[in-house]
Amino acid sequence: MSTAAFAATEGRTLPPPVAHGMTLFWPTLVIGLLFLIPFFLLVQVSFAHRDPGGLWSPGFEFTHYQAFLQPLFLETLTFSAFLAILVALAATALALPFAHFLTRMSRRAQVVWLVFLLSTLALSEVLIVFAWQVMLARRIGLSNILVFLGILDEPQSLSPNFGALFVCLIHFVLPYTVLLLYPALSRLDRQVTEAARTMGATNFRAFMTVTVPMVRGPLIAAVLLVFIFTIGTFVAPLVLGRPEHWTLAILIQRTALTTGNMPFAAAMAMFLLFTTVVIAIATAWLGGRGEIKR
Amino acid sequence: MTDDKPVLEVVRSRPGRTVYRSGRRSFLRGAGALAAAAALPLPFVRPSYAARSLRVSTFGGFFEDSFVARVYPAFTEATGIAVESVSQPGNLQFLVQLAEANRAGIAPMDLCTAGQVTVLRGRNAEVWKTLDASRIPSLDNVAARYIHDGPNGLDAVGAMAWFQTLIVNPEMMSELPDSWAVMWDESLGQVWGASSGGASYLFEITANTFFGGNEVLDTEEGVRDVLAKIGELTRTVRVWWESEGTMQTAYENEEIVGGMYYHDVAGIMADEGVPIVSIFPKEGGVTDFGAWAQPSASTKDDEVYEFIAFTTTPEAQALMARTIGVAPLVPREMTDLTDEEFAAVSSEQEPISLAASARVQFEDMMDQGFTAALRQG
Amino acid sequence: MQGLRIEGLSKAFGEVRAVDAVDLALPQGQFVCFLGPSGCGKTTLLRMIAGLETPTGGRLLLHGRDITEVPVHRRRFGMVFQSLALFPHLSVAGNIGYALKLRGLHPRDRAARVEELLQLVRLPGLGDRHIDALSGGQRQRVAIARALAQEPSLMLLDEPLSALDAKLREAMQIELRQLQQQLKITTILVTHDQREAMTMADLIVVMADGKVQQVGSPLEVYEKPANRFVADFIGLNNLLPAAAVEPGAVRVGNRLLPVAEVPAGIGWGSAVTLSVRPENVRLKRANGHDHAGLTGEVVFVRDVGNAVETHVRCGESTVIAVFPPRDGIQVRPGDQVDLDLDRRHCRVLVQ
Repeated sequence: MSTAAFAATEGRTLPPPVAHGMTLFWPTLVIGLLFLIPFFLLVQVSFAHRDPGGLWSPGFEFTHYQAFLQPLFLETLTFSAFLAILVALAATALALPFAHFLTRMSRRAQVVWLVFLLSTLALSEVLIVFAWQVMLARRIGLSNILVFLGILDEPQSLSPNFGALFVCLIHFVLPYTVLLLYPALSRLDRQVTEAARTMGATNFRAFMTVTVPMVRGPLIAAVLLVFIFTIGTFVAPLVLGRPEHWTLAILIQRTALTTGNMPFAAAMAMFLLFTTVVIAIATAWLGGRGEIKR
Repeated sequence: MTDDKPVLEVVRSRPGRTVYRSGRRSFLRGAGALAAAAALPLPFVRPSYAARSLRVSTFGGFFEDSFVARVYPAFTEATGIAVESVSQPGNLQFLVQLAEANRAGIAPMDLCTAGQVTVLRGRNAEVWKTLDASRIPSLDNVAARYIHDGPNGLDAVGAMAWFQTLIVNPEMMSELPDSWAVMWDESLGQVWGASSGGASYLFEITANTFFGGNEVLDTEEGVRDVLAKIGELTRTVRVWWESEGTMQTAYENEEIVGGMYYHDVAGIMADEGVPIVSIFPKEGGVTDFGAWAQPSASTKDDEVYEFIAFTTTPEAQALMARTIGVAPLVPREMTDLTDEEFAAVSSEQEPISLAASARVQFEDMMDQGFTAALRQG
Repeated sequence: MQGLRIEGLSKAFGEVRAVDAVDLALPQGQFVCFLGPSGCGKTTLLRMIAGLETPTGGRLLLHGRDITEVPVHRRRFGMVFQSLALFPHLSVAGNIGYALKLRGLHPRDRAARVEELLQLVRLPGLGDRHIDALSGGQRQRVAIARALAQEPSLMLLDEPLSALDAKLREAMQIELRQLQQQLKITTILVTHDQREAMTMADLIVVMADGKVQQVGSPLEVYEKPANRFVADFIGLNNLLPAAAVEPGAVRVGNRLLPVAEVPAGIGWGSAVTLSVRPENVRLKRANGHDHAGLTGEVVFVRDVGNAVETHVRCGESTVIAVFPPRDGIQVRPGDQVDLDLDRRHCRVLVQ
């Protein structure tokens, strides 16, 4: 029997394996295209020719990538990455003990907290930023409470500055980190930390040497998520930061929408994307390195 | 305490006055996220069964709402032409989309509202249809600075104008300043709010306060000098605002003594009891305007001319001044505006105009230079 | 006194008294089993000894020193948990050496000690393995070695064998017992499996409802249950309603049965329980003559290989008899039989 004939007879009894794969393939394709098409348009625009005073025309030039290599943009990119890393580390470091204590609370308290955290996700970045602008204001803000408590002599304005920006960003990302860490922490076998305690570890030591390594994966995921969230931050540095705290996202937006220099804005976006990917891969790699060989 | 109000106003975008205060000038700041979120270009279509119709776009939010409520009905009543309103984002995103649509032969609207720089950029990108001035009899009423004449002829005609002035909290500053130069006075500390980004009027304010006029912006050297002077402001400006809400929140919470702000909005704040004085400094307030421009793919020429002719009549100008708070484009004497009504939106003092052509010529330098100057300052 | 002394130790969770004023003296070097059904308080008692639960009353004395307030990490007791609680992120050596590392032992000494412990639990050279790569029995040994690492004065085992299959569990029971005898560490094992307790313990503490029911050697607990609960819980047993009638005999139904002794202080005629193990019941085919003991009808017979189990209906009660097959009595359901109860093993329990 020839191969073809064999295949034909077999084909009738066996379900075609391709059809099964295709059902999963279509959504993947659609999602892929939804990401890839805008991405390739962005790449294309970043090489296009700028028409001064007008818009842009198709072309292939590296001008915009070269233009990026000025102190202004490199410093801004560095600051954006620095800010994002700092916020990611600080938010995760804050969320970890909080989520840990959350898992120790009563079932009811846990539900209340989780519902509260989930509902805060509905607040937009804009709302949170403006809330902080008011909270840090001289006239009615937090400093009045500090005066009331006798910590300050007279109310003062607490923004704009780096602290205000930092606190606001932490506020914005903290629910995400807690919600990301909570499931892993609540799944942990409590006997494992108890075992460490019986072996001479203090509560803190047991937390650091047992709990933290056991949620290493979610921890790295939380740091990465916050980093990626924060590196593109726009409204918070604009409202709560000084000009030296403006991020690359602000420069991209101004370049695109004030001067209409879409090719340069696209090139900047590519730089930002590249930096994000590099730092993300580095984090994942560093995080995976501590694993023991199985 | 009532001071948390502005925050909610910005975010909720309620119709009416609150939006007026928060969202109306979004196009000027070229703001991204804030504006884009507030003014998504979803067409507001008023279904029309009239024989003749026109699609007009204005900046989404307060401006569009006011036109739909006040101006379009008056126009329809006068001409029988129904108007379909289309929302348009204030920034360049709009021009990019319009250029694409034009290229495909589609006109998303027959008439749009374009800022001064947008008109020039659109001219270079061949987005506009040249208008026939002879078909707009009321054009003679309009002051020359509100008319865009290009190399091929008339591109756009003023739609609405506004002023930015120096606002000051009289409770925090006993002696009211009379010059923009006060914003550079370091003895006062970091007490001002100034609009941020390459589209900020600070270029013109600086040029007219320290360099004798907009001409300094015609050369690269001059732009550099102006930028250096702007850089000095990092020691005196506390709030660099892109959204009106940011400035208003900071002002009402006494984070700042004052700064650059919209004259008409300051008037409304004063009406609401906020201690505020809007000063036209001796160098002048800054005036800017949006203009009606016809996308080249539009074919409704007759209706377009009738619409422009209508809006440039003294009556329509007075109506817009009263209901939208914009400055009239026609001489004050032609309108029936009272002193008070006129002072609420304009001034007869010689204003500082936008250095529109310099802004197009040195746009990258101005935009990047602005950021660099403040970061180094 | 050497060993662990528990005085009036209690733990209440809200209204529930999980452990109710327990007094115990556990001598040095013994293997002790806390035995009881689930919820009897045996695990809570163990966790209080470990320091993982704070008692609501009473005290703990180790070699005469009050350790009630000593925090868990300073008690230096080895503990093996029900889930084993191995550290999944560490290797076998990392797990076993954890306590040593905390105590700042030099890495070289630590490695030597870890290898020594691995030898002890018969896993030599497996230090580099990841926990995931071990079999159930190997994990068990790692958990035991880990608990032994800091040379504990007390070894606490919280049902560590319950996850193993029957055969492996039996092997581990013997191995664990041998290890304890070799090291002479005072050990407490919590279990609900009386067979496991019998196999391993020097001393069994039977618990129910947060209270100690009986303390004794396996044989004592088996042969001389202190009360009806112990008699019922430990092993297969016949518990017959009876009445105390005279010293040395009780009445069951209309038969008078001789017993070893009737505890003092029981009023004549009062209701008691006669406890007799199935292996102490002898069975004879009824021969028509009057029989002084119990008689009845066989209702169920099963031959489990090394023993024959026969259920005999005697009036209201069913008596079980177990005997080796070579005793050669052939009975079938429906047969009438006479029962002889070995009086030396008949215990009278107060109701």
